Amino acid sequence: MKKKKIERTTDGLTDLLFDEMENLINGESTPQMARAKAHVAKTILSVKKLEIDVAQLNNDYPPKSIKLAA
Amino acid sequence: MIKKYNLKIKDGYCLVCHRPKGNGCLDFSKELQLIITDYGFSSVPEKFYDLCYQCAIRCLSWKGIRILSQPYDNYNYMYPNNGPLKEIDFINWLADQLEIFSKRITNGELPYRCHAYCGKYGEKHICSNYAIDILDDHPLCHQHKTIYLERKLPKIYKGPYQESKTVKLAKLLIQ
Repeated sequence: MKKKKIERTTDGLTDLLFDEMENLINGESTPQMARAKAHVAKTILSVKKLEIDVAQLNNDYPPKSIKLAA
Repeated sequence: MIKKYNLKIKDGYCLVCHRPKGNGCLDFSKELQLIITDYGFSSVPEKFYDLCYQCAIRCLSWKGIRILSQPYDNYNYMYPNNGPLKEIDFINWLADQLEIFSKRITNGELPYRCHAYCGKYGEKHICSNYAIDILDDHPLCHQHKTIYLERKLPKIYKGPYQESKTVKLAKLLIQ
């Protein structure tokens, strides 16, 4: 089975959540799986938000580690 | 660069909030006229046709897209894009919606495709909570649930949708 690589950007995360919603509606995923993915997405976001907050304190905004979708 | 699109919302359920389109105070069948700014999309993404009016606006807004909606003038405004923090807020909201959707399925509030993949939607949901409890969050349609209950619990489940006193008692105990 081909592995799906998630793009490491905000767009990649958005796509992941939209895909999971579609899978859930189509019966290809379960509520537990969807909740787990939503939880992971939120955790990633909280880490990135923390990085942004730190960068703002250091006058390095936006931080280099943040990849914005084009 | 400014492009104009007419976004005709499809019928059915919204992909994000899962409310039926066309109900409530918003008329989802109205066309949204969008002006795509230079930060926006080169075309309207396919997925936005599956969203309701309200969620479409929310999803599009973080891209800095001006929405000219008719006749809902109160939505006629522009969200400026404020960079990564704005995007994080948006994705957080999307993840919240996914969690809420999952919970509503688990609680039996939404019709949901049968986990046996027969392609049918489950009925709305008088006794499916019971099945969900048994199946550990795997909802089944009416037919497959009956089959499951008859096979797994023959002593307390009798026939299609004829709840015995024992089943009623079991439900009360579960609650």
